[in-house]
Amino acid sequence: MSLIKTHIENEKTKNAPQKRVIHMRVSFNPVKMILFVPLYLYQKFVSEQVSAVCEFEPSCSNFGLQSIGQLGFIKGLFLTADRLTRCNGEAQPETKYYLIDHQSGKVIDEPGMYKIKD
Amino acid sequence: MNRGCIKLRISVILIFVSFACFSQSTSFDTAGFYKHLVAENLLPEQIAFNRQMQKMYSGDRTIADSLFLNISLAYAKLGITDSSTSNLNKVSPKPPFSVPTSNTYLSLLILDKKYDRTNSFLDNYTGQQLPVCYNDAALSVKILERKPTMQDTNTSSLSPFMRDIKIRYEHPPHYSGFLAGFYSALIPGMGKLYLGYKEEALSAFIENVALGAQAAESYYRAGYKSARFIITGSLFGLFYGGNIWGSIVLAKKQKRDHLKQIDYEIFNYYNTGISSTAK
Repeated sequence: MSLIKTHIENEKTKNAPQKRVIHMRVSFNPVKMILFVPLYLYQKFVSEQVSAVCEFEPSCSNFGLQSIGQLGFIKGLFLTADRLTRCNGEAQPETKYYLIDHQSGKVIDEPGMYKIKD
Repeated sequence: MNRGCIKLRISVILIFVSFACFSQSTSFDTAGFYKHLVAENLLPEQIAFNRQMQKMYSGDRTIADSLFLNISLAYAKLGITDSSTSNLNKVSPKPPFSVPTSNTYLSLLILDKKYDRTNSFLDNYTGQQLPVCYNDAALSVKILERKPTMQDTNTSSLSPFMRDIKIRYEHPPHYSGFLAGFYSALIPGMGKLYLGYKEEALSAFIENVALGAQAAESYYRAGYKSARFIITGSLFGLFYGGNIWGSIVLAKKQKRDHLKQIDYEIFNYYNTGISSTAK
């Protein structure tokens, strides 16, 4: 299993951000900024206080920031809402085992995996 | 001859006899010792042994290839992939291995994603009746490179596992994104149910119903101009739309997930194969 684990880790480290890094794309779009600012404030002040335990990697707030940055405002927002519905113990049993990071035990779920085109 | 001299002679003879009886022979059973290392799964010792053998047989290319392969295998079992890869690279492009050794070699090449080398190794045997492991490796490389496998591989010459993989690769799931979105718009969660995600569908349904009920309640109590309805209605709209969009992209993601699953199973198959060579 060690080779597979290393393979998954290599695949993951190509795109995945480091933990606890706030991904803030410098943008002057005011609509995006309206969303980025609360998410930034949540990550900076709230998340650390409530010991948030998201089931996924990247966490839901990071996923939101990344998806809005990568896919645009509407698609990103919808995808974040969909992610929030999935981030609970009820929806977890259907996770494919190759998507689970064996070190952290979290499910790898990045915005890049939800593109319409290959 | 006095008595002391006789005693001395007897003791000297006894010492020589005991040396002759109980000392080890000068010849060493090298092959037997390596078999013991393999049987006991002593991986660092195997690496050290093979390194020592490399010094002794540095001129023979065939032996050198086998020794590099052994070292690469030991490193792979230890999980040190860099060293495994570097030793695998030192094996000559077309090594004259036996079938079981070739099986190990092909497994390591596939796990290391060296598909070109795998293909060039298998090209040596074109037009021949190949063993099952060679056909398995050829098919695995085609699947991992996302090449079509319809006509060129005979199913009877594959292992049962690869036969199953081939059928699954050739028949990926076809889900319509439009239908998934349409079903989700009709009943929240139904699109995900159509895609086969029962728990996610239930979760989406419960959350949408709860938010929808809140929005409806605030509409009937406070009217559509109230702040309460605007907040709950927006939240409901966001999650309702998110569920539809999520179902559409999940339908597209299904095929990619299917291929990823197959890739994982192939790697797992070869990884298990090289692990089982320890005993």
